[in-house]
Amino acid sequence: MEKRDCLNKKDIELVQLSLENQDYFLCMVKKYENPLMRYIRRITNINFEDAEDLLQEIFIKVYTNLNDFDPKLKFSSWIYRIAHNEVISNFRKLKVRPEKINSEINKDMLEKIKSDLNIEKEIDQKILKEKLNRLIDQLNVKYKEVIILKYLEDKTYEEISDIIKKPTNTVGTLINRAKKQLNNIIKNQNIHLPKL
Amino acid sequence: MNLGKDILKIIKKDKIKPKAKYIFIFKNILAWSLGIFSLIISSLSVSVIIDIINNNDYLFFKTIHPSPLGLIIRSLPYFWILGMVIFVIIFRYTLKQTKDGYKIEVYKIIIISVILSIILGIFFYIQGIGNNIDNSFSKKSPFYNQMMKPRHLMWIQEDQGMLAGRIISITDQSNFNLEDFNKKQWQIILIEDKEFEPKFKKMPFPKVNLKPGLEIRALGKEIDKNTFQAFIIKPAPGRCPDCPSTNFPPR
Repeated sequence: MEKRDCLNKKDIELVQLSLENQDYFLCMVKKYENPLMRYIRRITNINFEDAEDLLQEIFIKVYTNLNDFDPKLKFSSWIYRIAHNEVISNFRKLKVRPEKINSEINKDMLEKIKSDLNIEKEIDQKILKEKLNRLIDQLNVKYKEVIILKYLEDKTYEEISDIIKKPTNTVGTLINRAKKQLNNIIKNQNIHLPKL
Repeated sequence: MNLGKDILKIIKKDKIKPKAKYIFIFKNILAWSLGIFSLIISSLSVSVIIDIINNNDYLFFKTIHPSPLGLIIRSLPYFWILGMVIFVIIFRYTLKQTKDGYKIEVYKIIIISVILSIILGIFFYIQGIGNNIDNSFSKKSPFYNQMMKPRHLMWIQEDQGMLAGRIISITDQSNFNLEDFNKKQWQIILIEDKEFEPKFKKMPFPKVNLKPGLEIRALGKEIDKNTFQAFIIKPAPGRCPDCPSTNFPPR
């Protein structure tokens, strides 16, 4: 296997290569381990070791279901869908050991959230980041997930629809409700995050 | 971390293989087949609903009864309405299991499945399938008859000129004994009524060959506690194997 080359290959090619030779699956793992690890930790708040175990289960599932991948779909949506399903089915087990919030929000994400949620531009980035992390973590799981996918994973409505297997309009509704719930949390806790 | 190598090690050690493509194709076909099956069952329910509503003589009750709404509500075929609802829900669930089914909103799936059930249901009804289903359920299932009792009881209102039950014995084609659905026995005298018949000109009745064991509905007036004068006789809903049609008015 030409490991140096395989990382530059398209996802669909990697799927084909992995089906022919399991060693190529390593490239797929390398390509997606970091984004998926980040995603799992964002939605579950579990520690690194537990997240790693879960990620291992996810990749095994991805491997066994490679033939189910539909090229009409973006591969990233499909692999996130498997991660989403695994997180949901393990949710009860995972909830037992919650850790502190893991949502890493970078500057770009913060700007996007600020403009989309209509937050004052002058607000201190560090404070906003901390507060948003805390607020997102208080959302219901179904709202928390769509907010994470939309603003932190930078997914489109169509991609979110493919990941959580819900119609695009429902995704829009969930995001709007998530924003409302954020508003309520802010009001109830008297947090100063103006114009949300 | 060296997750990739660990995963590859597990795959090799446990000899994990990707599931064959045909398994996923089969799963998708199975989901579609179940969906179509549910839709057909739901349509069959609709065809029986149409048949029962047609047989329940709502037009007829409207003519002779001052306020037939209570009767109509009591005699609606809830068994089949429930059947239709359940299979529409199953259709919705199975469609969601198909590859792209999740993209369609729930309300759209429900509207589409109800419309398709009605269209197919009308087709099945025209083919006489609804009537056949109702007949065979009536013959084979005492539970079904119990469920459908209100539509028989609708006809046991002798003071309103309506009576229904099973023929016990026959003297001739215009004189026979009947046990109504409340187990009360009656002597029935069938006579023509020149005043009564014109009211139902637009609703011709099929000719019924009276014989013991046949369940019928009679329209006329109560003479005394045990005698009923019938102007019109028609088979009970779904109970006339010899009649070409049990519908009223006919199709």
